[in-house]
Amino acid sequence: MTYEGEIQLTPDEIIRESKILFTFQNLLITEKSRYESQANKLLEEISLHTKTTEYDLSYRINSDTYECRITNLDKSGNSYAIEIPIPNSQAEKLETLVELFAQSEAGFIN
Amino acid sequence: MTKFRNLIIIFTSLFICLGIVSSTANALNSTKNPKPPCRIQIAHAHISKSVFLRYGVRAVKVNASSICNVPQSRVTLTVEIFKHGLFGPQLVGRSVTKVPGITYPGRRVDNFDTWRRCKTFEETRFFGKAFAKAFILGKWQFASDTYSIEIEPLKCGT
Repeated sequence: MTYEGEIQLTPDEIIRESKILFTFQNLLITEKSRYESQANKLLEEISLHTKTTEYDLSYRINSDTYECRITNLDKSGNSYAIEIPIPNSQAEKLETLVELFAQSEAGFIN
Repeated sequence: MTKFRNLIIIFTSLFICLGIVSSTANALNSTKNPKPPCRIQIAHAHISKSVFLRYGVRAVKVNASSICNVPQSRVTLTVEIFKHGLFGPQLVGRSVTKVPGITYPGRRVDNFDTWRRCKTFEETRFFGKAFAKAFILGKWQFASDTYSIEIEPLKCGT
């Protein structure tokens, strides 16, 4: 089934989208060393748990993806999951995990 | 008087015929295309221009929404981004939005959080796929895979 339609983000959603991507970009720089040490820990232990002020973050390594389950601490709020395919090279693996950590901490639009 | 009676008979027959045709058409429509209680809308893969212009961050994104005309609970909307590679479509990223509690009829559930950073300017063809599940009328219902229409390649290597 294909259903193509215009999905218009509201002005507020556009602002949130911008902020999230900007935050993501900043986190990649400012939190690089923390993310790298988290990545090494995750590669060693297969799973990892962290927390932000709003979410519980649960990372794990699946057979072909890196996954993060993001549980909202506010029970009435949305929860999320992000999955990224595991790349081949070791350097790319580290880079992808750093990206996953930043993406999961950058926030969500809805 | 006879002419008047004939006229009434003709009109009555016409209305009966129209009624039959209309009800037959409705019956055919409802059996051929039963309206699904839920539908998914997915937009094509794109690079968010506002973000790029304002902050210089480039990311490929696919937005999707799900809407139902019945009450539903524990809605999960999954969106995947794929790129065409040498060996067929390759998953680039997947994200899931889970809405707790009840979602009322006509209320949209959005997943606007599926994106991957562009690392290079390499031209790549992307497409999106979305599917959903929800607890409706006492059982789990699944909305089938919905694909975005592919447009021109994006200057975004992931």
